[in-house]
Amino acid sequence: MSISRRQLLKSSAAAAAFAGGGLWLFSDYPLSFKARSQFSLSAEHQQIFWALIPAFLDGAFTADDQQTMYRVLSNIDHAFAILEPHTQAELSQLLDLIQSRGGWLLLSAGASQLSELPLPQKLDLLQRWQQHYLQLLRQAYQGLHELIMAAWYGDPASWAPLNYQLPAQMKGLLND
Amino acid sequence: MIKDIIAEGLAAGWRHIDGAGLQKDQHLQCDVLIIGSGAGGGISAQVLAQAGLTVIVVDEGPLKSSQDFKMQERQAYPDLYQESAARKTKDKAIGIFQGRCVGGSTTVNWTTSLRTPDLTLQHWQQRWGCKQLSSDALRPYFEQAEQLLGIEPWLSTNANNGLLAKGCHALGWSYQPVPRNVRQCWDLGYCGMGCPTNAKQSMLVTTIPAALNAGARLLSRCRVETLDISKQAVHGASLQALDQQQRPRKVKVKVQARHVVLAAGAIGSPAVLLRSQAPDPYLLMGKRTFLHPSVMSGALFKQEVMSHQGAPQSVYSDQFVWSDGAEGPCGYKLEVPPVHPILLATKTSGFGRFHSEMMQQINHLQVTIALLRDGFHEQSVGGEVQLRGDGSPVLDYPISDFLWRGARRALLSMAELQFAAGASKVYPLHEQSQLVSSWSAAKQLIEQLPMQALATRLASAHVMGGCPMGGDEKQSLLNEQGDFRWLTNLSVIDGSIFPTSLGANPQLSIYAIALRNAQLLAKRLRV
Repeated sequence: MSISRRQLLKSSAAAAAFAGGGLWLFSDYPLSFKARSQFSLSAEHQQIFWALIPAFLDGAFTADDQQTMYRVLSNIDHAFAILEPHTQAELSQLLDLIQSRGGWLLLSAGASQLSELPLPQKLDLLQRWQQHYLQLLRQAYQGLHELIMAAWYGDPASWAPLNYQLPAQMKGLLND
Repeated sequence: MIKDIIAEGLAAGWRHIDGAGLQKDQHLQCDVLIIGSGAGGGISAQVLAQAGLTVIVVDEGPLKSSQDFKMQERQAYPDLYQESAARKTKDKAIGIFQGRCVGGSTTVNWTTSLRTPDLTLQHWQQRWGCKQLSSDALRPYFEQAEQLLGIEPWLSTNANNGLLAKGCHALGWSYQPVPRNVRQCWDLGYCGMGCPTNAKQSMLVTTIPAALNAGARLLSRCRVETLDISKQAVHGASLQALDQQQRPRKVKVKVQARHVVLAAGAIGSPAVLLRSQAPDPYLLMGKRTFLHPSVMSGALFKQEVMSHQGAPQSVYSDQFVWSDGAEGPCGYKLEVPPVHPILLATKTSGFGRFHSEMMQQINHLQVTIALLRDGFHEQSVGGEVQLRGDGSPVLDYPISDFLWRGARRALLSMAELQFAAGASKVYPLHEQSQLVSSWSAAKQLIEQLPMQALATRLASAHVMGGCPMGGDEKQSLLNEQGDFRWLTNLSVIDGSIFPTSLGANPQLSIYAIALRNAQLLAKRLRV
């Protein structure tokens, strides 16, 4: 059976309305995170990335390195702000879906709230999305993957463990 | 310090308008309006301006120069690429790398400059009625482009390309050196982020400066909304100024022109025609758009490969491009990409520990790509450029079983090649993949991987077709000179004119056909 994106959005919106919708996913905000008011992403959407970054980037930096987490989040926000309007709208739609109770129940197949999931369960969830039979979930996985991976590995702060360096002969010629 | 050709030209009086700085609406006139400044638009601009015609070149992207090119993907992708280098086909299954800046994709490509294969030209003659475009007829234009842009085989091969050659040699497969459009190249490996030394002979530092020196005007950050059409003729275009974030501003520009050359690339040109509701009696516009969809394979080597250093592409193999004839099962060309952090991190499937460990081995990774030759077989009809509600283009590119079979064979060939070159492990890029340690294990894995959109990782940097030329009006929108069949005063000169993909990297094919058609156009317009 295949389900169209429109159908999925429609059913999840209905489920969200039935369940009260809104901030269910993060009703208990983790104490460790304070949303940035100056960001383009809403506080709720920042929360989603805050929960997913440690899973996508597990092993890239230490799990309790909050400074790096904020740095990645800031890079994601910068990338989000300059996305083409149609891509921005699609991503917002996906984040709204994850944020809503009905959408989350559909996407997570009944998992606990995202903010409460321990890392191993988040990793299981990503694997389910990555290899899901529904194309929509694979699209969602790849969209989040691209944004989060680019946000970290585009940042020179990530390059030392990779031993990736710009060519030595360009030092002093790049005017920065 | 490195000489900044663009800054010097602007200081010397080049006529340039940046849409982001325009204070009020403009009304301009010229003989020829050229829409797009990439391979087709750049060549056309030089030829037509030097022929004494008044020329305006417009590009939706910004005018950047060598001192803006900082060798960092996070800056280059949003500055220089369509959709921050994250453009996708409609179902998001294929990533598309296309330039969006003055110089177009030539500013950011990897410099590979190959002539149109003879078999492609023969197929076009026989199947699509392109009688004038034989190898002999095009030879002088290839030679002219090669001379103009310093195109010569590059013999200083980095380890990434060297391993492609080594694997081919071990297996008895054919391989050749890549000719590149560079002069005094520093061999840095950052061509995809804009050349910081002006060695790459892109349109940004060759034909556009030549056109501006000949009196042409350049409008950057101005997007063509529609062509101005009346009485079956084109009279110019309506433009929208864009701000520094490429968002539309209220300022408009109207350009009145005797002739318009559409050179916005194989997604942009059909989009302009569709937005303009140009006549299309046989419903061909935007259809048969091709990508050379490319599958990828990573390989770990014990020794350092440092695939980000040195000329990105200097070896290729055509062993499997034509092995079953032009119209047989899907052929594929083997090349390598430069391996920089964002490119690797976003294309490598997987997440968490597996992904971060792969990233930490970046300097030991060799990556091979296989470019599928689409458009030659009846089951390979390419995609279709469509418009979203806001008028922006999107390419719908369903992937046929014919292409999937080619993708699987290509993944097998790449794994075989990488083990033959001495790889310790190979990782075909697929969402259900894993590292394998032998050719037999790779074979077993690849044969069972589902070839499926958003499972098999696919990318493309070659967009072709959508406004095909040909001999039959029922099958082509343009004649072989690039003239639009159903409107006067309109030519198309870019990669959109190809009736199929090429089976080779497209820039030199565009340069040669652009030289030919722009020279023919100049003769007609000077009369």
